[in-house]
Amino acid sequence: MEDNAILDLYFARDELAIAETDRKYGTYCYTVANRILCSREDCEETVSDTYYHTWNAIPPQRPDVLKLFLAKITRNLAFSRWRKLSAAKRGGGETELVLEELAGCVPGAVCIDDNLNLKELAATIQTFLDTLTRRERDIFLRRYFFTDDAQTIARRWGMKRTQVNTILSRTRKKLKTYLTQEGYDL
Amino acid sequence: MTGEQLFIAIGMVEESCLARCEYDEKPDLVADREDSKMKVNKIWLIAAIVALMVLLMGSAIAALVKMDVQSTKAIMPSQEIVDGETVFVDKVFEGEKVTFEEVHDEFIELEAYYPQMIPEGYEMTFVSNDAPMQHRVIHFENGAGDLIKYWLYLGDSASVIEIYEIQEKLEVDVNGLPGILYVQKGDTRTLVWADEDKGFGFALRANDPAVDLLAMAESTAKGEKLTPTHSAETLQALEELGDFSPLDLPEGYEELDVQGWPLSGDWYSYVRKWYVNKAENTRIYFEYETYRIVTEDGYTDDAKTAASFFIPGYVSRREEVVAEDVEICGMVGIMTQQHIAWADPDTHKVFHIYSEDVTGEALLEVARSVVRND
Repeated sequence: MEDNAILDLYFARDELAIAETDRKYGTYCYTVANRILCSREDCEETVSDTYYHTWNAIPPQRPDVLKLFLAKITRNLAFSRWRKLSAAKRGGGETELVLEELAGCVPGAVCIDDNLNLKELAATIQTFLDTLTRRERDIFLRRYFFTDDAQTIARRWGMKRTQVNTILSRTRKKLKTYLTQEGYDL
Repeated sequence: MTGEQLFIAIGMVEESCLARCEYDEKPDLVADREDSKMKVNKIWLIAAIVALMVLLMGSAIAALVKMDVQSTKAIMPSQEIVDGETVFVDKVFEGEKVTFEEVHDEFIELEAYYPQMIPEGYEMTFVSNDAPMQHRVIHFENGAGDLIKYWLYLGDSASVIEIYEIQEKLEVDVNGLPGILYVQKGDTRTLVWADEDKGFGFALRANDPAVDLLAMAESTAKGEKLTPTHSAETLQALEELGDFSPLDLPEGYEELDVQGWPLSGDWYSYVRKWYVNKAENTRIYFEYETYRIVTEDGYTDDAKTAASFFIPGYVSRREEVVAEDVEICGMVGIMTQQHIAWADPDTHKVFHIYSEDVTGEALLEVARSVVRND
């Protein structure tokens, strides 16, 4: 079923919307969650939560691209779950590595203490992404949005893993510089 | 700032940005789910049992209601499309930004534009009500189940149109407007054309080879005003929930649209209203709906609990959200700078007003002026 037809089902409050979403994007959502959580049970519950949030968000939202709308919700719910689950047993896993890498981009002790500041930071990152080449942007988002490992990204781009790591390292440095220029080192 | 906060912020980037990354998704990257595919019924079970817990995990619902009234003017393709690939229409339309103020009236008028020549055996079966989203969809179907879809949209609000597995593309002229006919795998064809001066885009898709898409496109003209398919449900929702609206809107605001859905099954009914100041391109969103809260101990009628779900972060990060208790027309409510939610435990209705464009104090005045009209 096309996205638009699925969206029409959501607008009609027809529960088939969930079934059709699951049929078309269930595996995809599971994959997004699995990159962060690596636990079947947690991934399944995160996907269920994703549908619940989607049901509540549409309408009034009418996402431009349903797949990516779902990806954002799934990714963010998976990360919330990961934080909750790993609070007591930090260490290991791709998500931990991603966070460690990102911590290296943090330019200073600037305090991000509310949702508004996070939104501003997201807007800054959005602008930063526009400064990257298509390949850099894809690799950055693959790693830091979808939590892909370097090997998977390398396969996608037909590159060596070390090349991906080099590009990621360079892009992180660029991000740090960019954030500093934007005043995030105060 | 921490790595985690940076990770969360990256999770907030716009979908259009992700689309550039997702555009050439390779199938081998999709993981096998083996036999773990859940039954859909489980979703509802989980939702019912742990509704409260689920809501704890996300504070974004209310933030998602923002209607983006700035869009990109539709112009014709400026980039090469590689044959055999899938594109979204926002990939082929790009251009300067236009504001709601500039196009709203024109869009409303253009909503009455649709193909006047309907192929034999087809009839109109669905008309969307997407004025706030600057988007209209019409379905035509025949007895054999073939579907023709027509889209009218303002610029990049069309990106839900996915043109997949393109085999061939032909430049065409639609009554003097530039267009492209995409021939896709199977019998599917999608014709997109644009009025570049006005910034509007159109598209038609059919999977029935007997349909002359170009002739249908050329017949697009002003017709009778169409009634959205689900208007009756909105009216029914207004009857069920009552027709509430704020009396004291800030100067320049007017109601743009109302949508609703009556109670069906074991879910909830809702009414949503959009108010816009066209001159300033700002808006206020108002909704009310039925609620039922499930906790570990059973159901609760607690109004503050019901209202709290509409305040982003209030449930999950209470200590971090600056919110205050307010009284709205004798009911318990919660207020932040952008959101006010209040609930009536007697009728199990929760109300929510949201705006990024007016102050919290102004929003409070709007909330306190809400009355039932019927």
